[in-house]
Amino acid sequence: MSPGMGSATVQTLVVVGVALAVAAGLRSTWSP
Amino acid sequence: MLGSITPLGERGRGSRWWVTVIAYVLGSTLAGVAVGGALGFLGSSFADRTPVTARLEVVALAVIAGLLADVGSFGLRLPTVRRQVDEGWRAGYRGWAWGFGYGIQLGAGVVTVVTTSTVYVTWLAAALSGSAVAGALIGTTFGFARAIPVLSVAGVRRPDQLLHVDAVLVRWAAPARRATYGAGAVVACISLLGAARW
Repeated sequence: MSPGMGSATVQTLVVVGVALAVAAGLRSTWSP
Repeated sequence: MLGSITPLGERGRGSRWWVTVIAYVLGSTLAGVAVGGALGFLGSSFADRTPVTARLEVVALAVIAGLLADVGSFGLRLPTVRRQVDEGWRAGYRGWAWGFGYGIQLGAGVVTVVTTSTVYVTWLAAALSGSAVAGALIGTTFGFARAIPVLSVAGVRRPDQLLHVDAVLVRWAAPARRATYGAGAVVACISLLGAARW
């Protein structure tokens, strides 16, 4: 695996994490 | 929570709303940075030894398991603490102090009631991200997104406006829940596609 491909997967993981963070943060508005 | 930090309420307590809000958003974001960064750091040694594709698959499976718990499939229930922020702080402390304190607690995500599995999976993603910086980026996003909806009550200066906000929140509760399910499904697909692609 080339370094470029490796960084792309890491970026995918971080993007996934950020997307989850947005969903979790906004949804928590409805926490009691 | 939104109804707790309004210009109406802050005026009644002799505080400036914008000061309380800045402290609240700052506290929440800092808590997100701290928790996400710490998890990224703590998980980095494990992440270094684990292929990114495997980590993506773990996140995807966690999202799916979380969604099943969110909808109560197979008798699953989302684990959560029952604790909430202390209402008494608003009467006992200055606005910036309780705003910051509330922000710290809510931005950490898991020290008060958790209503969605995506909170847990967010922290899992931070732990698997491979570094403190990546974890902190994820945490910053959570902390900020957790707090920023407070700006939606900036115009609440009368009790009837506060009641209207409450009504809007009730009306949007179910759509927000469904939107979170949808977002989770999309994230799971992206994770699996990313794992398969590389």
